[in-house]
Amino acid sequence: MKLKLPELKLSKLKPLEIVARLRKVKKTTILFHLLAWGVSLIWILPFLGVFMASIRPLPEILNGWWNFDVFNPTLRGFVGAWNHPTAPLNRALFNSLLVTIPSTFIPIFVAALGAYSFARFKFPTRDVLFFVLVLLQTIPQQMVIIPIFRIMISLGLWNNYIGLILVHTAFALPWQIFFLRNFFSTLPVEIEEAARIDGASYLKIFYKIVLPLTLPALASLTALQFVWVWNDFFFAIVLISSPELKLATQAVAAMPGRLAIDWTVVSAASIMVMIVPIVIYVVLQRYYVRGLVAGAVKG
Amino acid sequence: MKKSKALSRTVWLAIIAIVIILVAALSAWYLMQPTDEETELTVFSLWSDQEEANFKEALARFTENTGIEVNHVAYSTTELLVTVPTQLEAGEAIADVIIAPWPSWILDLAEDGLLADVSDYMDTTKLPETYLDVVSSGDAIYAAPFKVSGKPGFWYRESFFADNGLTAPTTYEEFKTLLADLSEIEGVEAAIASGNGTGWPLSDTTEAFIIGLGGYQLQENLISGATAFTSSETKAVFEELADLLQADYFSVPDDWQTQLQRLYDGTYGIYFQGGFVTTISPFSENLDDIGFFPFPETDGATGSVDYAVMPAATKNMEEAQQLIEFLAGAEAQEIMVQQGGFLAANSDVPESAYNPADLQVVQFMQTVTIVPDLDDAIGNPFQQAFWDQLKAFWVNPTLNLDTMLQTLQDEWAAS
Amino acid sequence: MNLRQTKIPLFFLAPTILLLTLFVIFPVVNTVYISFLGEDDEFVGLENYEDVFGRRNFWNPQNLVEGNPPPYGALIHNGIWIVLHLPLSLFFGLLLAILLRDVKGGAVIKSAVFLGMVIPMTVGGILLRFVYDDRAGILNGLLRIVGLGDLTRTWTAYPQTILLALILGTVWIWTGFSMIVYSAGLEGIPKELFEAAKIDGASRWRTFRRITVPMLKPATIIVVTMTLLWELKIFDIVWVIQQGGPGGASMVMALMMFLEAFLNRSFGTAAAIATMLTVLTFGFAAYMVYRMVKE
Repeated sequence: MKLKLPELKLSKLKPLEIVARLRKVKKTTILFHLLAWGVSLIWILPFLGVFMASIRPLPEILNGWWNFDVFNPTLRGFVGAWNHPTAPLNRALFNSLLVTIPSTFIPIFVAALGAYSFARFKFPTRDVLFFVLVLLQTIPQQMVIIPIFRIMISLGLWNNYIGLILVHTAFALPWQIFFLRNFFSTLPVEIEEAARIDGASYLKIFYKIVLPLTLPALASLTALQFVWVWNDFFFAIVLISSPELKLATQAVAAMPGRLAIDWTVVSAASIMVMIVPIVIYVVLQRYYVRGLVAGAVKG
Repeated sequence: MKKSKALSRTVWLAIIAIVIILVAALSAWYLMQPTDEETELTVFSLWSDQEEANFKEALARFTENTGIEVNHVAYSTTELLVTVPTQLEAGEAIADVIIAPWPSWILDLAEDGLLADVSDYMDTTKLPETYLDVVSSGDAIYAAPFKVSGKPGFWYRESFFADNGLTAPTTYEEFKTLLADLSEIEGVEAAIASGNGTGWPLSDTTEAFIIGLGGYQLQENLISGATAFTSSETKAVFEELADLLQADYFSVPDDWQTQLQRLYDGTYGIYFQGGFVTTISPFSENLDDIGFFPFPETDGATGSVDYAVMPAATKNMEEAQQLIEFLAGAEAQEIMVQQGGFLAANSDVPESAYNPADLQVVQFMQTVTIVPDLDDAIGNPFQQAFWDQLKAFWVNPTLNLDTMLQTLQDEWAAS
Repeated sequence: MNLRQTKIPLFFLAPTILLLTLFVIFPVVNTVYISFLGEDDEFVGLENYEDVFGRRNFWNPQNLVEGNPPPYGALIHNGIWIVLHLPLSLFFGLLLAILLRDVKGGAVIKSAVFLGMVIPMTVGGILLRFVYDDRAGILNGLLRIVGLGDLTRTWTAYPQTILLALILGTVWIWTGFSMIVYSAGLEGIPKELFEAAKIDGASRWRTFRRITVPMLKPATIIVVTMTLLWELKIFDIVWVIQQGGPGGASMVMALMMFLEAFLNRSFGTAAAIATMLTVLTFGFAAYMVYRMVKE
């Protein structure tokens, strides 16, 4: 995460000049900054609350996690979530990784090949196909789930990660191809043409020349897709049913019980499940944001 | 030079990605393998926390007797309602036995061939006909009654009544006098506590009035459709309820469990609830001070039955059959009953197994005709609509009764 | 680079075409087809659609017109979501984007605000449930501090308040998105335009209206379209909190579709709801898609 601080070039100034500079800071600017930081505090409050709740015993939470008169931190929440009787996170987190990693990398390969065709080749129906692709980006999961449910059953892939991974892959293709095709269009064609003249096959050109230059775009796809798949719930609840196969999002959704909610455990679980996409986002932030903004249709 | 650097980077990336995918695929395949040779049965139910612990005791006895391990998974109502049909529809039975209290849902699934006929695995002479009828189709019985939750009447704190010179009413007029008296007592916010939740506390209370004022036959007729919700009979019951609601005899609905505590504290006078409340604090710790009186002059009471069903596609047929047999039998039910709050379906379970509070409930239930819970028997979408309508009715008793009853009638038709 | 042989692109495109056809294109067409089928797979025309509109759970405008609290039906709930959530998210997003442009540590703050977009929506629902809880929630804590303790309750437990509570909660979650897109949009406005305006003596408000807003049009289109689509597809949050309750007061189309299909096993009506949902989606996305294709 980059912290962009304006350069005050304090090192180059003599002490008196420093003071003068600081005094020049207008009142409105300070107010502005206070407002901005105030807003961020408000926005962060729920996360702060959940973090506090995850390390404090239930009675303290029910009294208000912002009250610190009694403060006995505990790890019971995390242990409880990890070993939860109905929805243990020790399995669920691993399961989510098992699904998310292939669902992130496989589509990238497929999409890259596809996008390259759209960017570099003219073939009949190309523009129609591309239009369809753009349209497909907007299809909601609900529109495809019933037939997919039935297809997976006939393929014997219901309640099977391979089925889920295939679905995630297919769903990723429209927006990833759209994104990559636009990216490829920005790459100068001359290098590839030169290689072609030298007799290189299309595949070789693709893997040795184009792909390396595409890494930043691929990083964007990785970041966005990983977060999307990890966070998915809808496909998971329809396609994955066995208790031991449940994914993290399903596990955490099953935790708030019918009666009083054990906030210590539920908060800890929430943190364990959301920390993964947050870390990915933080590490790949630049690419994530770029991907999101560059007309990535994935919300 | 740049080219070779770019090359090795791509190659590295490709290798890493392929390795990851391979590892993931291999582990997935490995995990997908059927586990050990020992058959382990999987049971789904709605029971969590204390109820689950109680159930597990019965399951432990089963394992002792047969050596078959049983894995229990708890679900919430909506989750179970979604998970089970999805699995059965997919042709895979992940659960070998499922425990559910909804006869119409059970019949629905059975009619689509998704459940197995379990009539061979229980002694039907020991189980009440009314419980079996609602889950039978032709000669086949699709569920084994296991635990019965009776909804005996209005619970109250005996010392509270004694201190205020109140007695349990035996006629409906006395009941209304009681309500008026309760409202006058200092500290009492409302005579009758109203429970909130998915909606069943309100529907339980409403059904008590239907049966109490209209007779158990009215309830049965409403379920079967012989009487319409829009009939004058039914409307009369709701009009009476509306009067009581408008007289502020009922409290604002709140979390049904919290209401138990409030009843105990004297905020409310009486509370219509099922027999299982004797297992919940503060009732469970004060069984001597707790009592109930049935709806005055009533000839029926709802018994909600937890049934055990077996999917037709279960992979462990024989073992599942054994479990069904066990659950329908007296041994399992006695264990459940000893932990309090419930009644057994099997008549072989002795009275000595019950604690005094539950025994009261048992003895009462034996004096009336037990009818199924209205919304459980009719099913969805009626059930949702019923709960929905009642919640609105409770906070707005002057609403148009005809519209509400017509809606209920429509939803009944759609179920 | 022009095509030499058609073989190559096919190899490049084959996996894509295969996956898309099997898991996206065919299912879409199939779902529409299923929406015209009845209980025993017989053709029933628009019956499922009529049936769905007859359900109070889906379409209950009477309740709204009479001034009663929710439920008003899933379709109307999504509509209310759009009417409230869209302008609020847009407004706060733009506000934050502008506010944080020149603030020290603005990038950190932006990341913090954006976190809501990165977490799973099931966790989002739990966070909202937590905030709105009677005793453990900050909202009620605040009310008590300000002396409005009488108003406290678990806001998501009552039909009158759950919809509004969730909508406002999703504003908190989604503002990060509009903020980021607007931030990028703002950065894309050439500085010279602002300098020229300053030289011409234009007021800050005038500059905003005449330069910023029009230049942000592409960003606005993206934000509006994506937000609309997201509002139509709300599912996880509602599921986690009350599964559409209490009494259907938080029912939304995506959830209703799911319950119809997998609880009631009524695939025809579920497909009808899904189709209507998609038609709305296409309608809302049409303009953005048109612009995307133009390039």
